Amino acid sequence: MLNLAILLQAESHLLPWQQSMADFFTGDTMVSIGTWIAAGLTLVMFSFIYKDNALFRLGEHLYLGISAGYLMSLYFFNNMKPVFIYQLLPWLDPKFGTPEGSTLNLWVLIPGVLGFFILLRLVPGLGWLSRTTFAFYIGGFTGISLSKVFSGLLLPQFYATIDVIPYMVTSGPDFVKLLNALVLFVGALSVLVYFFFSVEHRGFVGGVARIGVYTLMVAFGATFGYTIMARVSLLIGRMQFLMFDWINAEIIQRLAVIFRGG
Amino acid sequence: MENEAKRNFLELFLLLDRRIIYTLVALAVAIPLIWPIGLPIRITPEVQSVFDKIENLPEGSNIMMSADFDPASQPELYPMMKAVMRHIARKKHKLAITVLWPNGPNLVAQCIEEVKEEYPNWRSGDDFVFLGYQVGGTIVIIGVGNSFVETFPKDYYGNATSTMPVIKNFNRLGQADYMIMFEAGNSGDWWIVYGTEVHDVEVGGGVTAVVAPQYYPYLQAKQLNGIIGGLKGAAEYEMLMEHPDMAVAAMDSQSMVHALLFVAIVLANIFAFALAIQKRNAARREK
Repeated sequence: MLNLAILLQAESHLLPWQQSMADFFTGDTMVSIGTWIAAGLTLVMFSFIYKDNALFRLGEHLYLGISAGYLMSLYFFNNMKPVFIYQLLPWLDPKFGTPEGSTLNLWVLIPGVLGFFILLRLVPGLGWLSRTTFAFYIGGFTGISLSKVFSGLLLPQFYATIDVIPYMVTSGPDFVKLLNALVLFVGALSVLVYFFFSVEHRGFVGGVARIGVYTLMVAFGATFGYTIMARVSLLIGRMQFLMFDWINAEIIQRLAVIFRGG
Repeated sequence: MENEAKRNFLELFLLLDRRIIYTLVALAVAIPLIWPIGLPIRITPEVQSVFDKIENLPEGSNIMMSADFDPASQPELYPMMKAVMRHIARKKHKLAITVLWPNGPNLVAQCIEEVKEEYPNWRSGDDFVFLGYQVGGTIVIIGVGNSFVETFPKDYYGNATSTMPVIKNFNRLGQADYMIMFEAGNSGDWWIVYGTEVHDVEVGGGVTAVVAPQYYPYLQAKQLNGIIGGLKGAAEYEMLMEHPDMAVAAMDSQSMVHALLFVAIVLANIFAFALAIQKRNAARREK
């Protein structure tokens, strides 16, 4: 909605009806309508906590439908139009002929055709063409990312894990840092041993693998704790919306205005 | 008889209707929102690092920001994004903002409007450029490494980026003095690769609590200079800014729910243990 309002406001010469629409979309009425719809749908989603019901399923379907429609329109207007259609048919661009307007660019036909191949998965007998696109995409992306993954992710993480060796040599009295590096080193190594299935987990290897299991449990526990924090944060966000934006701003404040005679 | 009553109580507690727990959670959230308790918020070193970096950069430094989230993560990431954006505006740094998630741009636009209300002289084109969303993920990151103007010929508001004053000295990721990313997923991995390793730009992260454990190894490896993790991190940043806002207001509720869940988990474990002992003793007596 804000997007639409900004676009409407961005027009410098609005016709009277366009100005009315801009006022409507940026005005209090639209905000109120939006707040009431959002509050209603929030309560509908919360109703699942009590029991599964038809209203919840309606809300769920609304969410999926609106998200899919919104994303589709977003991709079309933000990408398909400026990046493909206007490049291929530049005279359709409203700014055609100006320095900011599009110019003919036939190179976009290549990704266009490759993209069209994916849609051919729906056509029996021609679905195999989509593999060309996927092969191009996966091959290209692997080529771009492989070296970067090694130099940017794998090696720095590896060096950080074996930090214990420089600490042992240089840190001396910094016991906390040494302990931290040691825990990390032993933890990472033991988890790797746990996932090494070519050797039977018995004796010394079994003991190390057991430490790996405990390390994993600590990691899962930390992740679980953070997940709870995240979910509670989402609940707080919704409660703040219901209590302040809806109950306070839309009901209590408005009733107060009515009873005060304003 | 007494033993029977005890056992019933233990079983009743363990079979407590989940809706009662939901009601308690709802109350634990709602009551502190109405009557704040004002529990202390301790500043962690990883949040302090992000704050210090932005604070100590000379005025007019270039900062890159990527807001890679959507409304599903708004309660956590929006408050920290607003606090950081406010900090950047206050320090008069130059800012370029990108979005890699299609549902994210509206949130950034809303955040910009709110910060502009506090800093009316903070202007699009002069002080910041909101490049908006572009499809492609990693390809966009590579693109902004080469040129903002080529990757985003127009900004979110439809203005040509090539003529903007802010772009003159800040047209690619490598020209940034610092980068801050707000992440609800994996896009941050690629910002770290291209920011830290390829373009040698120090990177800080504001992340949801769910993905925070996945980003801590980067902090340990010094690939991130700091992490603002979840709502707690956002509240810490607001405290550092001496401008308590949405996150600080929510922290009492967060703490109350955590306390409630902690008590529930401990009690449930004690009761389950006690019930198991009772059952074992009863079985022995029957023998």
